[in-house]
Amino acid sequence: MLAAEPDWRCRRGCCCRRPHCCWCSSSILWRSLTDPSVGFDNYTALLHDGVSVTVLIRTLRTSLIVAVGTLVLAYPYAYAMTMVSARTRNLLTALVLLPFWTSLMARNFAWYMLLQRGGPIDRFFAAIGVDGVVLLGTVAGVTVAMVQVMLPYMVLPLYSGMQGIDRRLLDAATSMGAPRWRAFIQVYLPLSIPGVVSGFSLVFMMTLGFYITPALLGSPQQSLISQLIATHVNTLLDFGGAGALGVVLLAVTLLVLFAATRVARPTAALSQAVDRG
Amino acid sequence: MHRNKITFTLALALSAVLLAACGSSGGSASDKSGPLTFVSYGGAFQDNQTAAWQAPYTAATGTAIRNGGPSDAPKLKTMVEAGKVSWDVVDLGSSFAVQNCGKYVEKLDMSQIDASKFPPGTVTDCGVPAYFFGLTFLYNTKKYGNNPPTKIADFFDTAKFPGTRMLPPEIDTGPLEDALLADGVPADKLYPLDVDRALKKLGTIRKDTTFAATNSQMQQAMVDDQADMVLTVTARAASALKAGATFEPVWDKTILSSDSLVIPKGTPHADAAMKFIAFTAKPEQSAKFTELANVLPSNSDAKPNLDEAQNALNPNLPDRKAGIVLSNVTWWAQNLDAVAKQYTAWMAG
Repeated sequence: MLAAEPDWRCRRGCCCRRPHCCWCSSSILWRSLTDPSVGFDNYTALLHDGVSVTVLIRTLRTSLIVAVGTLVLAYPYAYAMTMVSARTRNLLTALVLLPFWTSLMARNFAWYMLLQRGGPIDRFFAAIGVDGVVLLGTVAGVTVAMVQVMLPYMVLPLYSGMQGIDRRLLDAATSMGAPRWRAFIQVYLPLSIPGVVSGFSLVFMMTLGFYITPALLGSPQQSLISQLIATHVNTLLDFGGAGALGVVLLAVTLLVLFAATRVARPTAALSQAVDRG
Repeated sequence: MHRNKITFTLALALSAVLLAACGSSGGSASDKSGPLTFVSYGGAFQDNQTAAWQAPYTAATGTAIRNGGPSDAPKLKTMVEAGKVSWDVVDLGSSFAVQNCGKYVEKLDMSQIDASKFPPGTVTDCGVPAYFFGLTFLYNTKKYGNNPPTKIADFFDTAKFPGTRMLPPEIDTGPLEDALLADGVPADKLYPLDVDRALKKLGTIRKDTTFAATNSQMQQAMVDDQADMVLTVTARAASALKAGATFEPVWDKTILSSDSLVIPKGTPHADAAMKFIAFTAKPEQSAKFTELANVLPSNSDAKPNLDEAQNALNPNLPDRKAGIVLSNVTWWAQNLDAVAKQYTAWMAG
């Protein structure tokens, strides 16, 4: 019988379904605890080397800014997608999906050209009187490029969340005397929270571990955690330390995921209640 | 029932694919007479090594040589640890050969190489310098054409020479030595390096400095006028100049380092690899590679024919030779890890 069974296996953890993922993660964990000697040396070294904690905080802050930035840009776009005719919606969807059909490297190199000294952004700001806006090699530049890269991942969950919202509820609210803006804030916004949470957590978690954009557009001076892991592997040949950083990153990601499910649950219940009623 | 069958088949197929991917064999050759795998930094540089070393060797002995790469110290380390070595000859910094001698790198058969032809202290049990390269100080003529810098201290003088600096990605190519020389340390008293003092000197130009993540990035930055003063290696400087970068070298101090061709421990073609390395150490091969790639010859008997463009970046000319400072391979072999860690922490902090 093809009824939807409660997915208790997935709640236990993904390992049961992904043997490869399990093996590689556990080998990294194993290495971080045994290389160069058995124990938590690698983890205590992370706390005391003066770099890892700074980099982790910087990464969390950047991911937060990127997630908020994409949310601010994607929300109106997704809202527009729910309002327009089917044909325009197809066009808007195609525009959002367009980045997926181009190479990530090509996009990052395009950003490289835009952000460098003497590039279009620098020249634009020089023309309006602000000199020296060279975003290449700064966290700001990485943030801007990451927002562009992550935008589709925010738009699509938002859209799928908003699509399920019954617009007649807004009409009902206005018919009972609420001004349009109040109807939007008190009716539409809470109902769109599940989509917001899923998009936000997706973008946040992806940005935490993203490597290519920070590696290409950032600098070692303002590195994010993915660059630090790469430095540990490539320059310092410190596989144990890199493994420890990887495990810390995984732990933070799982924490965020857990928090997201906690936040989404009450609002998901709200949506279900609305559907039933 | 039907659904379970599909799930089972999919799971089986997926595990087979993942098992094959995760436990990859790497295609290591099991027979001793197979082609040698030569690994270097790729691009035009490796093409030059093919022309200067591999082609004559294959013509003389008939041994085929295959190119791989790029050179990656952690990859070599992982290969040796896993026991699946697929590289036979690898071009890496000489300090790597000294540091990992016997552990990740095979000892060389010195009977095949004349060690007296190489600068003293550069030939060790596991490595013979394949070529030298200098860390050269270059400035952008577009910015400093009228008032060019003349000594290494000018690189660290942002008051008199404002502008952006760029440092190379590899710490052992010489930026710390340059910082100490600029700070007044005499060349013969450089080693052991006072890393704290060097980092303090680098700290004075830190906010104007871009730490290039790769040499290609530095090259591109030179061509795109993203940097005003750079410290870069000879071959990369030559490529950048050829691509149109408007830079001129400053002949005050040039730090000379070398790369060695090493044999990863456990490769099945160790003997053939040794013969190839002995061949590349000969003066004719050394000279030929120098002519093609704009490096410096390691064998003192080598007499390369360099034209004017190539000589533009050659620190071996009589009027520039005095500024050469030889990097201490043994010191770097012992201290590279600690220095790299300190440098990374300093840079990221």
